[in-house]
Amino acid sequence: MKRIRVNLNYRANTNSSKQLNTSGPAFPVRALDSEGTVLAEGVASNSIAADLQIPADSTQVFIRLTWPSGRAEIQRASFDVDQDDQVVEVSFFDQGPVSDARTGWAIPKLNVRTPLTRSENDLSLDLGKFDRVWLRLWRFANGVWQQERLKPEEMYRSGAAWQFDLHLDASAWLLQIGGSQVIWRFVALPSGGAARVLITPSASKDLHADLLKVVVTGFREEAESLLEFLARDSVQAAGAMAEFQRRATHLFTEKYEDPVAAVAGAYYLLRVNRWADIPESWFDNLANSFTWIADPAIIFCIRHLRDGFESQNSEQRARSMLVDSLNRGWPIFAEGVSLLEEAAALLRDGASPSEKKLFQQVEALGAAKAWAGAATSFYGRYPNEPSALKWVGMPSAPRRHSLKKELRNSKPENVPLTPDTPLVPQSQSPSLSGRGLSSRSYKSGASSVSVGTSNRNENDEFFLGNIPRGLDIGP
Amino acid sequence: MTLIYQVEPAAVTPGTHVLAIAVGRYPHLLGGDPGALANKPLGLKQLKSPPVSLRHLLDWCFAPELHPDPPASPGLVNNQAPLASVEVLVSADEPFVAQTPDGQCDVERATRNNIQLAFESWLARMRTHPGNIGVFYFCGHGIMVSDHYLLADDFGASPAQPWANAFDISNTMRAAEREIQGGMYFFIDACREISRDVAMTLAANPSPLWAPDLSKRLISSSLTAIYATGEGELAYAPLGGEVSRFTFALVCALSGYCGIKAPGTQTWNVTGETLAAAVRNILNVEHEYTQGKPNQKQVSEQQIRGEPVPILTLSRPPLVKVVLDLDPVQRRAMYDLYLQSVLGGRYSQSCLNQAFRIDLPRGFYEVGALDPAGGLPHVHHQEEELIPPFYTLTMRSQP
Repeated sequence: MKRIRVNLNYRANTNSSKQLNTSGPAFPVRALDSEGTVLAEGVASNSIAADLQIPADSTQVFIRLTWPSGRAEIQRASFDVDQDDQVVEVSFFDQGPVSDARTGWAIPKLNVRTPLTRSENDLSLDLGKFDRVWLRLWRFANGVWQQERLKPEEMYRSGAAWQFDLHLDASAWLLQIGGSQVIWRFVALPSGGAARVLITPSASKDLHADLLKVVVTGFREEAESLLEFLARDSVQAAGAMAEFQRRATHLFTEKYEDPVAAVAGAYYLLRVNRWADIPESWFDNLANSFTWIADPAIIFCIRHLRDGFESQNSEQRARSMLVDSLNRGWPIFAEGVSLLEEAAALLRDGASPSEKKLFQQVEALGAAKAWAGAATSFYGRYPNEPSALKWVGMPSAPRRHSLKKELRNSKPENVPLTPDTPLVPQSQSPSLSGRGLSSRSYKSGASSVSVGTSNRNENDEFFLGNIPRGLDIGP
Repeated sequence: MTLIYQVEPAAVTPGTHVLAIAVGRYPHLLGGDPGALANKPLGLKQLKSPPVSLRHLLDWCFAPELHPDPPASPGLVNNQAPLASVEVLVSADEPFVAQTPDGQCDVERATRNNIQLAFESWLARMRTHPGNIGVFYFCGHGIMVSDHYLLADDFGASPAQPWANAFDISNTMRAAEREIQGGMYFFIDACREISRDVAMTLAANPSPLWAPDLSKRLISSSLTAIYATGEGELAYAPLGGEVSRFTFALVCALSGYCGIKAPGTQTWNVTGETLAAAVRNILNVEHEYTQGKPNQKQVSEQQIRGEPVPILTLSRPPLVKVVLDLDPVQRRAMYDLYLQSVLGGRYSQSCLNQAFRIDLPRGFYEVGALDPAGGLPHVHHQEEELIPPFYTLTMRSQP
């Protein structure tokens, strides 16, 4: 048997103010023959090389390293014909395309055309036009979404992105972004420690795409890679990540050290129908020990649903877990939103009036989903009112987003001469939620969730223009 | 119900069971029967594409038998679960006649009741073996509210219960996962737009074809659902009754343009993940090459759960549609554009003012452009991996 050791030499994503040094990213690698047949697969990280065993008759093998974005890097490994137990070393480095070491961590999660891969000299993005894009931070505590002052511990701006670091306590947190051309949307932030946010102009050619991409990390490299692959339905790559040192189970068992990482492991096991590998009590512990995040409760609810209700009691547990989940804010990860939708759909029959109101919130969330990779993201004005209606403008002067001219033409009555016809015409409005549009607080569902109100003027807002170019600013 | 093809009882071995439904004629929607229009037709019209699209899918299923010399495509080939049954319902302006290996077959309309009966019989066939694979295909009107609703031929027939003749495919899938042990593929070629009209309509809550029994454990080994478009988006078909974009991409991908050979397997397998990626890629590239309108870009979406269960097992490596071009175009005719396989084969186009298009087996190639006269720089990319279904590259000749 021949072997290939695949080393990953990527720079780690570090947080200098907290001296937080992570182990660096981890990515799946595959050994392929000349036809593309998969000979072996594994995971390479900065600390542990992938050890791939390939057939003894192999002479030429290609190693493919895959990022969550789908981009792949290839290297060739050659073996001697007459040497059966040869070991070849292959190394991947990140220096090549990365223009800025400080923002390079986000590249594997972004469109392959992201401007982050270009050098400063090649960029002409005019980031100044986004100076008035505003950011708000929301925290969920005691059943209430409350706006918090955004006070980054570090800030950094390159020619292609803005970046800042936060330290978030053990609560549910959302970042809201908006502007005169930027549709208001929320992105869930990893909590219970350091979090880093990067914002960069979208590289997508899709006219529907948001103008600015938001990428977040909680410095949990392996768990986040696993979730990024899951978010893109790259289940095979996620599987390689999960099998890496039995990582999915391992993440789960480490729940008391890092519940967010445990959630990642649990999401994978649910996705591949291997939830039964884990004792039910672990799910129970996860859901009941970490009541500040919504994800463990929805995971336990789905675990009950997939196991089948043996009694009325187990149905009641599932229902109460769904309600618990919704009383903890929104899931941190998009995988949790899909599970919320699944649970609400299955438990809709026989729901109490208060549950029905909660289920309507889930429906609104489903209709308002936005894309931020593995992180939960949705459109709307207020954190507890996800809405497919899209808003732009300053916080004090919201206005309905008017579709781009090209998109407005998608109404079939406006394009009778185009070569294509839609299988169904566009509706009058995409909204499921028309409630509370002029109010800043209201009660909703069984949990009496309300939006915290605060009278702030524009001077209090945090704008992207506040982030000075190339500087670090402490708190 | 119309069971147009069935291999006689083979419950001892696994098979693949197809249920395909196309609804183009909707008597109660706009352009239907003038005297029988629904009170609220929701602006929905007649569709020409679904019957044509379904025929395209059937042609693929039966390709080895119907077009054997040479086969137009490998067809539904699965050595672990060979094609065992095909049931079809079609609503079209004209009666639909299906061509099968056993001859022609009249097909019944896709009314809600017929769909119900067909689904139940499909489910019964699926239950005959834990290794069975199910394929459910629908092409017609769809609306996304909280779940995805699909409309049968007689949608809107009853003013008292306008939604009685639609069905909830999302909960149907969730129910099937509790009834069927084998792998399932759902291909849904319908719009998924979120309609406020619908959301505000009372009783817009159609039932699934099978109610989820929550006392049962989830037993399905895998589920792949590939939707023609993303949530809240429209699906498209060319005007004039052609195959819809999604079905075209789906059948193309299934015709030997995707698949991986995993460690320990002898065949090139098409799993839900590889298929979904290929369909998305074909839709994207076709949109670019046909210079589709930006507002009509269609991006398929998928839901993948469980262990990978292949829908196809192919004996040969999948093909890749290669489009190799050179920039600036004025220099195209001065170059040989070539691909050199690391296994030895060389494929080239000599000094033509056009992109080089060729289908090649997946694998690793050197890709380049060479000036036979030797005056212009040699452009080449080593170790390019051609991954199906498309490989597109525009090389640059500088200065």
